[in-house]
Amino acid sequence: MKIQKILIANRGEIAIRIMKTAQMMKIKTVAVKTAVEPNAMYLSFADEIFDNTEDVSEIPVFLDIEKIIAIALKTGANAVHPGYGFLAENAYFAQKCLDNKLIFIGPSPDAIYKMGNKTIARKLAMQRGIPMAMGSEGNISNEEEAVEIADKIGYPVIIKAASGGGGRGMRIVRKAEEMEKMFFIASKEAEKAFNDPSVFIEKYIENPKHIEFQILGDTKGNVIHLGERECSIQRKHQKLLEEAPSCAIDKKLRKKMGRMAVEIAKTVNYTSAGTVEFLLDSDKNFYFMEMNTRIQVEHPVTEIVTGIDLIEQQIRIANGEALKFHQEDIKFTGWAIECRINAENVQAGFAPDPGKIENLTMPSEPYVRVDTGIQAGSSIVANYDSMIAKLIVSGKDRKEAIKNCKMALDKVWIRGTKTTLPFFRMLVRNQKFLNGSFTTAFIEKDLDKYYFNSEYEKMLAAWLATKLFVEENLQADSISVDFENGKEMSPWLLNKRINQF
Amino acid sequence: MNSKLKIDKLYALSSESKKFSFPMPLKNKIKIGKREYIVQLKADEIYGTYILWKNRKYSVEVVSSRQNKYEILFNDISYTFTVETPFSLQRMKVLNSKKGKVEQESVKAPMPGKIIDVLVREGSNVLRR
Repeated sequence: MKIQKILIANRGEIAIRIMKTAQMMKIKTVAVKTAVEPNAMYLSFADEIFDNTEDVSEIPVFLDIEKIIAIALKTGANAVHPGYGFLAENAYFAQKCLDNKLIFIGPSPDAIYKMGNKTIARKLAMQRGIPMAMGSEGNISNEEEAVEIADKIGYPVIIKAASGGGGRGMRIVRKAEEMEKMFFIASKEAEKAFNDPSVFIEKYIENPKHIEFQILGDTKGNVIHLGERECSIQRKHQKLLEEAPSCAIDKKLRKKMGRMAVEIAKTVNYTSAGTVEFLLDSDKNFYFMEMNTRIQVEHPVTEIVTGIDLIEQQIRIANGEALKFHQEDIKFTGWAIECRINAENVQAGFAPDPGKIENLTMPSEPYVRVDTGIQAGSSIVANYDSMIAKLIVSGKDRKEAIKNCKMALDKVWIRGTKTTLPFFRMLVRNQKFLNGSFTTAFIEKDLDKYYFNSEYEKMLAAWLATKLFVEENLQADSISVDFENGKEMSPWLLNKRINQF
Repeated sequence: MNSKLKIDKLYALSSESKKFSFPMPLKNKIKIGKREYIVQLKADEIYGTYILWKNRKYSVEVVSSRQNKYEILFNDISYTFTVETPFSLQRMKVLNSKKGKVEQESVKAPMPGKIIDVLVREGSNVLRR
């Protein structure tokens, strides 16, 4: 049976993104209304809303497998799109959907499981001769074993969670003395985040670029790639800006890495959209890192340079349709950059800054695409991620895309919370970013400060403070100017003013 | 009889100790080099409060104000300034220069009571009247 109604097991901008394509394909959608966000913007895009506001469970509904399945069945949806995060890479959830005759819009449970478990994924990649950083063959059980392996492959090494992702359960170890502590931390973090304390070890590639390839696979055995995304601008393994293509990749390398990415996907008979991540060192050697079996946050940059709607492809593939294009049909046009505008305070080391968005104005130029689930009046709640919007900007080449990005950033207007905007304003002026020589260490090692503010801006802020002072004090005559003559003055006022220092 | 002294300048000192001086009365113009540029504080329904400078809007928000100390969010960046008159700036310099130079000494009050405030600080002189 073809997909007629999709339950969106997600929220925010990705829920809207999926619903827009579903509507274009004349497929009905169901959204879940939660008590945390009863007035969320994504609800207005759905054909149907399931009211789950009375559910007071501490586990978000989007993580509750039984509940999501029950909602899908209750609302008559015959397919589930998990978006990203939450249950998107949960093999058990995908299997439960199939068990309940629901189409899971994503890869098979088997592919999710194999690629989700990093040690299995490494083994599969190794069998196919995919280049990889040296490391343990499987999980390691204790720090003694970890030291043994690290001695063989040489420091620095990185401990990674076998079931991990998103930087959690990862620790870099530079010398044997650090191993015991780091092994403990990584394992504990992995257990907490993924309910699995298993970790493995890899040689740590210093200052690489993070390059990932977009994959599409159908149920007929066709697998192609849609080129790469450059995701090296990241902080603590959290991506902040992505672009497509990458200025570090030429045609020859793209072909080689793309072929390897397709090869990896084929090892698990991959269907749907997926992403194969690589590390690229300064000598252009690349190493398989992991495969993400979901739609990525940064998928829009690929859509812009290829002209292919990835959500549409996911739905078509889930419907059993064959891909309508071959590898040679994929053409790349122009350049696209995505800035993740999050509610974070860059002056406080990117600390989350949740709150109510009082005003949100985004640019509407033809070279700008905005994916957001937030509008004026929405709240950035601590329960979910801090994303406000994805500002996606294009140009005929990288130079033009950056120029457009700079202009677009100046037209974004957000009030109510602090945002990552000052970081991007700095980035589009940074020489290392402009010449493309940045690596994943860029934020931690190459920046003196995380934000841009010109001398003029400081001066204007100072002018405003002075204006406020004048309006509050001098005009109201509340400051005794006689004080300037050194004549009599109330000791209370004197004390008040002295205390100001 | 008090006579008012005209303040010809105000200083905004940033938390990074950068000093900006503005001639009084404060104008809606800022001189850079030989040119003067108009700066306007405006507000409307779409953008809220903003500063218009060289045809560009900058969002502004007063996060807090206490006496002469202001925290301002300007174009998504937070700034803290204290605004000083020439005299208070001079006094601050003097007080800062004397910091750490005064030795501690116990003083007995001539009258027993509860101290509710202290009207002197380190560096103040006690003079015989």
